[in-house]
Amino acid sequence: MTTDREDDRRQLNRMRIASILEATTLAILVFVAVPLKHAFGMPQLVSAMGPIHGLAFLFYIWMLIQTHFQIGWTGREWLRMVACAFIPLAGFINERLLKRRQDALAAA
Amino acid sequence: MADYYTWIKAVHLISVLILVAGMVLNGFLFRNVVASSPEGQRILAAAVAFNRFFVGTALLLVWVAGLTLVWILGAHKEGWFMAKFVIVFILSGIHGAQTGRLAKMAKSPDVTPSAFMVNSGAITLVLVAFAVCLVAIKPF
Repeated sequence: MTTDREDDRRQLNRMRIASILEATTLAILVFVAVPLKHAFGMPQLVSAMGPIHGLAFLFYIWMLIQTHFQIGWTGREWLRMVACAFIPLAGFINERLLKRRQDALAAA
Repeated sequence: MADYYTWIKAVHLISVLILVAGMVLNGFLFRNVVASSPEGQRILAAAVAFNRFFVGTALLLVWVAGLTLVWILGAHKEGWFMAKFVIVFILSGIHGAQTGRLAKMAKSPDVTPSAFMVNSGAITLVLVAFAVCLVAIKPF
């Protein structure tokens, strides 16, 4: 049987994956798909990446709520993580901060 | 795509059934299981696994199949769909909250569920009733 702390670390690991997934799909959408559509008249990638990013975003928010009810976020963390979902590439910084919290949990 | 429509609809409905059953079950557990008892711990551990594998997968399929149906029908600009989208978004949030709290309770028996969690099964049923009415009646 796993301990409470191990479980929390696993949950943070899943949260990191969600953050990377959300940040990657947003980056592809904003930096590749949208320029392709507007500069080269190729809307196909936007059509494909739009729904994929939508699902990744929903998954991220779902994980955010789930982790709050398991581990708990401070108001500041909530603000940071919601903001990171809307700013391209910010999700990668968020992932590093989540890793730091995960390491702190392991060291405690 | 029309050939697949009925199959996607079937997948969506099956997923909805599993999701709603799972969420009502979670609410029932928050209300009735004594987490500090050995029996309670055993039930909660099983519930966490069931919730993650079955109900979590059902939630994913609800979204994927549901959005595919909307894309096929082109209903994304209709009022009833927007209202339903908000309801499903809230339901997904409630499921996320249930999942987190269930995992917490399974590991920390001293944690008592909040009134919201205790009533989450009933809240789920009310929201699902609204969603079904929106799809069936399409009032706007």
